[in-house]
Amino acid sequence: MLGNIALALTLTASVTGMVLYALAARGRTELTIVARRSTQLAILGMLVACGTLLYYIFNYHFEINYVYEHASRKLSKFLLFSVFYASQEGSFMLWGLWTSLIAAFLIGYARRQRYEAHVMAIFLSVLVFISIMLLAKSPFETIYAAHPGEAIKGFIPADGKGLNPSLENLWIVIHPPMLFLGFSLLAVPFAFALAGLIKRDYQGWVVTSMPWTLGAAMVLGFGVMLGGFWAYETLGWGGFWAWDPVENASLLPWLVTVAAAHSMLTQKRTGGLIRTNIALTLLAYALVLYGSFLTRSGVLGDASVHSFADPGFLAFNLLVTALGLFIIVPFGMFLWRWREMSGFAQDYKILSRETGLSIASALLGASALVVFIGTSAPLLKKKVEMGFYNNLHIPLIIVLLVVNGLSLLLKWRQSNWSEVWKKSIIALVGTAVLTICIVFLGVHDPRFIGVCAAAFFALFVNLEIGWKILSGHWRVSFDRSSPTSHDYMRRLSTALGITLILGLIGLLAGTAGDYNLFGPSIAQFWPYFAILFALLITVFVLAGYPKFIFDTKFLGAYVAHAGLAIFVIGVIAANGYTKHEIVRLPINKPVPAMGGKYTLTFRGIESAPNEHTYWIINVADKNGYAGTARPLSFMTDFNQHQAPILNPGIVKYASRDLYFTLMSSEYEGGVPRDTLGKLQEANVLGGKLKIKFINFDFPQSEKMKMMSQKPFHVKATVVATTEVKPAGDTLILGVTRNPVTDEAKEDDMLVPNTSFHVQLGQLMPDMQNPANSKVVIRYFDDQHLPPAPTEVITVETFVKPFINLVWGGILTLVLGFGFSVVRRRKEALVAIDRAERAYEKLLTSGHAKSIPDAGAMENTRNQPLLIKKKYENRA
Amino acid sequence: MKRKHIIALVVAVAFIGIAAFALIDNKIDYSDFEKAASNGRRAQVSGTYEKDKGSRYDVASNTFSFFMKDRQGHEMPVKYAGIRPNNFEISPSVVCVGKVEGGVFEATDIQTKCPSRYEGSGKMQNPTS
Repeated sequence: MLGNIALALTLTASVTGMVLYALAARGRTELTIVARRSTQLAILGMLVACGTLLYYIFNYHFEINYVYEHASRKLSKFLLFSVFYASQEGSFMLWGLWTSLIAAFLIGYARRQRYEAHVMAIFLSVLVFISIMLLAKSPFETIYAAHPGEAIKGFIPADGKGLNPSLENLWIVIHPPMLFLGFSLLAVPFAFALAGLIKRDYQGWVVTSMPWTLGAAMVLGFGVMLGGFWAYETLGWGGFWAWDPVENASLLPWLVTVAAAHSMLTQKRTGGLIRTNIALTLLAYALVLYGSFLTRSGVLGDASVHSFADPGFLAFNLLVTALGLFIIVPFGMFLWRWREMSGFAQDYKILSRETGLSIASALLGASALVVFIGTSAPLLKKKVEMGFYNNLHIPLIIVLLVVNGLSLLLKWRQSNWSEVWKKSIIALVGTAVLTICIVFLGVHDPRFIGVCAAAFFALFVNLEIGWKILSGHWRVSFDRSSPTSHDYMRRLSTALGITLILGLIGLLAGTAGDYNLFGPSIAQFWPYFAILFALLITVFVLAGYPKFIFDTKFLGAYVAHAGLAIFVIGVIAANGYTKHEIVRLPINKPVPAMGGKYTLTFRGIESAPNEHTYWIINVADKNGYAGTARPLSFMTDFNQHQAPILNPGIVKYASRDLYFTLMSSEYEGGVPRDTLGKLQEANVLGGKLKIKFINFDFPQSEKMKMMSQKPFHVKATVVATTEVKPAGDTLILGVTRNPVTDEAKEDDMLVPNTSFHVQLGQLMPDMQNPANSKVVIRYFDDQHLPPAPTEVITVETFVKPFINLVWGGILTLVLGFGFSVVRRRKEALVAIDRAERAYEKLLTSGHAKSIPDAGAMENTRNQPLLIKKKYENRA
Repeated sequence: MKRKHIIALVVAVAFIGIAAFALIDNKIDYSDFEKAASNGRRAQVSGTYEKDKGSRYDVASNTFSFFMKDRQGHEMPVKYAGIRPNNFEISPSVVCVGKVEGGVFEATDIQTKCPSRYEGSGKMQNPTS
């Protein structure tokens, strides 16, 4: 109830805010304050709605259908948190939550940039869309409304259905929020681009929007990576990216945003590419909505494992309408202004950094086009195989990396080849050496050699320049002033903080987010972290509190580009050179694998709560014990206990992962058995015993027991023939089975006057045609007892070389974006200050008449006269 | 500026050409068993797992086999080089990618659906207990 009221408040207040801001943008500036208050009210409403949903989830309010469908009392608190966005309605809530929080920060920034009214009016339209979606398909619907006729008013289920088992992993607590934060952040550059278009501020919006564009790229990139990491660590197929339409849907806006970031840099220098930048920025957000449409409308149906079901008629039409509006309105505006947008671009030579940036942007655009075509194919009832993406991205990435390295050696405006040649010598030599090395190490595919060589070149250039920038600008100094007791407390807490954060990251990465492993991991590794803590304390006390002077201002691009190169090398190594082998492991028997490089020993199983079973595999290499892999299997209510859900086990080396997927487990040896059809005879125990299956007896009363999951008893008649009695003995065998645990208790039957035992193992009745029914018969001679059964598991073993470069590369890329965000934010603030001062000068000279905007003021820096004229014309 | 534009255009056209070629090469049609059997091409077939005929995983050859009924109602044995996919039994539909060889659909990829995605049909468990 409260939740829906809060959502209604958000809708009303955001519509009001949007309209008032729009009016303010058209000149009624006195409405700005009311619009701001209304926006704050909308934010408050969304916060209350989210809080209410969390309250319902954490207090097990199963009368709320969303909670009933996705929560369960068995889930840990961490996982309960991910129930919040486990499905359609909840993920809109998450989207709304981020959008609201961003709005709270955006008001101040936009106000400072003289963009408040326009940007907030556009930004709020997103919140309007989200709150309409939430009201149309509310997460606060009760089970009585959702299941009319089934749930009787007042009835509250004892427990919920629980989370999809593949989501029962702690990485899933981080991945979706990160992704949705990225999607929500992309609305900011979208709003700035559209506002710039409306205000005819074709240059200024680029500076203003830059930190947000980079920030969105950073967060979204990280979110996409976390998705890949989660897939790798829990799904067990050994890869991290399958070009699935839903994965692609998150990648597409990222590619377009990064393309926009590059061409926006060109525009900042030259004033050109106005249309490109506005189009790319508007397109990035349209793609967010397109992706959301693909995954939520049910159109992907069979095409993707991730897609949601058909959301119903109303929600589907709302999605289509929103998609249409967010494409038609901005691009209509864009076409309307098309002729106006031709700028006075400064010219530049082909051999210049501007060209490099434009090519980068075009290549990223081409990549986005490829992904778009593949992702949209299901709409035309087609499927595109992974080869399509891979084959096209190989040439793209080669050119991209070469341009990446090369363009950083180029100067703005113009360069000459001899200079570039001189600067690139170190990188070229390094590339040649490393490329020859990898060819000797076994990389023979020319495509992969090409990609790696390009990546090495980009890596060397970036490291070289990055190092040059950093070498003069970093040092660590120690605070040697005599510390007070307060200082000691601060040092202690810093040391503790660093230790805990590293420990937490290590814990999450090491256990793949499986909370059952937290206890053993902590028990195993805590001494190392205790040592780390002691070391930190020692340094802080003896040497003093360190101060890092570390100028990252110009590092962003180089760090990000180096990260890309590292990532690409990792992808080629891990995907192109994975080795795999299927290994059978009898319990406690060391088995050589991968050509004898490793020795695997299956040590048995370990049970954990909630029907989780770990299959303990010890791994040894030539240096002895290397680690323990613990692939997991668990049963869940979610699939009515029909088959186990499997998660892989991983042993991590610095240079590679050993990745194990459990395939089967069975018992070998033990009491011998045979399967017999009716009137079939088996000649066993070296011809000393013949067993013939005559008939079975499975009375209705026992069938009923089986249906209701109770232990049941079945009987079979066989004839056992031995030398002692050639006419044969008719024996009635019986077995009691427990259908829940699948345990069987065989009645033992001795063939008269012999040492031969015969038992009924299992009955396999054919209900349609009883003549086809079969039985499993067990037999043994108690003079020669059979060996005890051994458990054997079959695992698929992968060696994934340099997989850590994939994750490390992306983290480096993300860090680089982070540095750039800081730099460009400062730039945007400086630009507005400077422009304001210049404009004040204009005002005092009595020329300007209207309220200035950021872009116009930015331009006053260079072209005061031109701007003045423009203002006079406009007024 | 002219020369720049011409180079860009040539590169763009070349890339689109390559992309179109790659698309034709890697495209798979949504199909059914009958069509897939007659043309022998790789296809994506969706249908349902025939539960009463059972399924089997053979460790020695690493194949998972079962019977599937496509949307047209035709039934065919499916062989998949791999283990039983997660959620196989409870998946409301099964999607296989592969081709027909000798009356058997040799699948290289099987996708199962999580029933949770089918929220609309989510029935209450024990609604009155």
